[in-house]
Amino acid sequence: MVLTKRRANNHKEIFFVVAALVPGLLFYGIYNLYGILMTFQFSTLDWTGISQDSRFVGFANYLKLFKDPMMGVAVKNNLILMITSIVIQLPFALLLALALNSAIKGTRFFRTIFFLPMLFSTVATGIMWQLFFDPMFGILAYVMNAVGLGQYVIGFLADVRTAMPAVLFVICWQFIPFYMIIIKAGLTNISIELYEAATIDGANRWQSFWKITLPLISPTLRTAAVMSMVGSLKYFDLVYIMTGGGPSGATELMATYMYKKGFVEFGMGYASAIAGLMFIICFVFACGFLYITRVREAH
Amino acid sequence: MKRLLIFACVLLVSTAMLFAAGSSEAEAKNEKDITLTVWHIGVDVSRRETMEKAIARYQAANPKVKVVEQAIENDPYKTKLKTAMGGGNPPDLFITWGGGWMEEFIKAGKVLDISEQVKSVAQNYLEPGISISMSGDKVYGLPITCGPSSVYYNRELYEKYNLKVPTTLAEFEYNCDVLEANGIIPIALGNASKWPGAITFIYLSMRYGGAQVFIDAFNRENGKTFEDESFIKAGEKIQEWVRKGYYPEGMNGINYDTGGSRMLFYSSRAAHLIQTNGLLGNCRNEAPDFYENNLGLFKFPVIEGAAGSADEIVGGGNVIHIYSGTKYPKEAFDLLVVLSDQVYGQDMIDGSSMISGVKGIEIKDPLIQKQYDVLMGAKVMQNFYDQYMPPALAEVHKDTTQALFGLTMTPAQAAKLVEAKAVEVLGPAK
Repeated sequence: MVLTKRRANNHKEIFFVVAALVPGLLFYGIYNLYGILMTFQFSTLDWTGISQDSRFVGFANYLKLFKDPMMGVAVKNNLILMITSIVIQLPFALLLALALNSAIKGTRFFRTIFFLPMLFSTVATGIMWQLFFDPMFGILAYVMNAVGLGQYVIGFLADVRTAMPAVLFVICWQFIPFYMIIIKAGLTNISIELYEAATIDGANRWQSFWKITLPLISPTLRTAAVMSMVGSLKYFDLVYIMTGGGPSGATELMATYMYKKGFVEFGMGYASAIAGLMFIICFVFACGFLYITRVREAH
Repeated sequence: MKRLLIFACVLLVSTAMLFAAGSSEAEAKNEKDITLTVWHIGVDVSRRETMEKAIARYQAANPKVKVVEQAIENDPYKTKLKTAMGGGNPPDLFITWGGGWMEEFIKAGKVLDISEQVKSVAQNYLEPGISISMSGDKVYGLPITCGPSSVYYNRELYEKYNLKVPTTLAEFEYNCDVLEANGIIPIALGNASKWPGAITFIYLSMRYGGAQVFIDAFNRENGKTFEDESFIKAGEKIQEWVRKGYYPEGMNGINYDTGGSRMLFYSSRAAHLIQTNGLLGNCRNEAPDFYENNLGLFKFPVIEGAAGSADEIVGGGNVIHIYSGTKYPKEAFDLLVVLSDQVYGQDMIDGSSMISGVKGIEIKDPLIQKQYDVLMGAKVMQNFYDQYMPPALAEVHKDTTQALFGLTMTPAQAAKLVEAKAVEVLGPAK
């Protein structure tokens, strides 16, 4: 009697779990999994993207991809972006989050101010910074002229030496607030008693940061790092708006190159191969990173 | 488990029904009234109004047909149309720029061949307009804008420094030198999107070698290639001008679309602007005073002793097409004609200062008249190389030209890259 009741309950529970999962899975399946599978299918075709005709070419697109020098440039730029994201964005975000978490007056005000860049639409952000870097009418050129650095004014987004740093700067400007909020949430979860206990035991602030704060927000940092890593590997919008991958490929990313091949040059098969490779790279990086940090946690 | 399956099935079926219900409803509507969709890129107020007026005229005459019009920004339009064509849900009427981009859609069998139907109206259109609508000897659309690129100049600055309108490149360079010496930027250029600078490259290469060189190189015949000396010389001239300071600092980072180079021109900080026919309309809207008092234009100067003539012009425009899979080809063609007819053309001139490609337009504005005369006097109107060539090759042409302006590539290197891509896309030269 008891047993059957429990079983019935079990059934009900499973029923509920499935009912809750199906809608999400349906959408995820149609718009994500199906899309990924189709991408891999398209990547084996010689296809313009508009025609009904396409030709199966096997791995030819991937072979072409490995010989394409521009793809190498794009991968390199993506790696640069990834490293700056993790090395610059996360520490800065952590600093800002710590500042906001402290008892300084006006943290609410600054929280809003710091978060503003994240609220702007990326297109508006891109155009705004494009105007900022404009060598003729831009604020940067104006300031440089005012302080006597006028001879160094160049087309910042047009010069192969400065385009990438300029774009990286804007990407950091846009994304630091995002990670700041995530880390801030992690900090709020740390109970105050821990710090109080540490103070009683004679720990200074530096020690409590290293021994309490950092270990306790490391899961948050780990999530943030994965997000920023995958995000920077598939990054597209600001670069597309500000430089379009130029000049001469100086800011070309895998995603902007994919767009160019697929939508500008009518090579949907080849673009799908780029997308496929991007998927594999992101997947490997994310899994690898999660695996490595998981081992550390166990220790 | 069974319940679970049943539940999943019910969910699936009900979702499917939801979608099915949606589509059958739409079909039922279509049977009663004909709906035609039009996609175009006239997003600014005046061009859109012209389009809407033409559609209203058509609807008044054909009350049974419902026309749904959508204006889409230039670059997103290209992506959107491609996706719609590939995804099987394209508009009935759409625009292209002629040339290689249009050719891709023709090759994919997406554009209706209207060679037969067009015979009854073809005589109403200007020759250059019809020519950009053609592929081989077949007509695939009708022109809705069509005009030459010119050198626009600031008349006030010319008067101030006592300059004469140049007809040769040497005279033009003299003017530029004088302007440069007086602290005026000789030529405004916003080359972030690459095509604005390409116009100068195309004109120079045509003036050096004549219009036929490019055509031969493109057709891979008569021993011409993209490494012909006219292309090299054009690159050398551009780099000479860059080094002499003819262009604004960082022009490859200035965005034409957001108005960077036009601002330099309107504010008299720069004296010339080498641009498409679209500039007249832009200028009239953005800087009406400047348009009234300062704006002048002349044909791109010739090079003494070189093969090109002043009557070979670079130009282009928009063509409106019918999707080959449209359910109502007859209605679509009637609409196509109305969207490019004389009334439309007149509206276009009056509202946007743009020549549309139809005959019998009354032009009151002397600047447009001049533009029109250039167009009509032209022996050859070469479509922009980047419109004319297949997109993959066009990209290399634009990238290398931008690199020429940026001094990061030599003219010989640039020509070599274009030729290498041409061999890949078009085949070896004969």
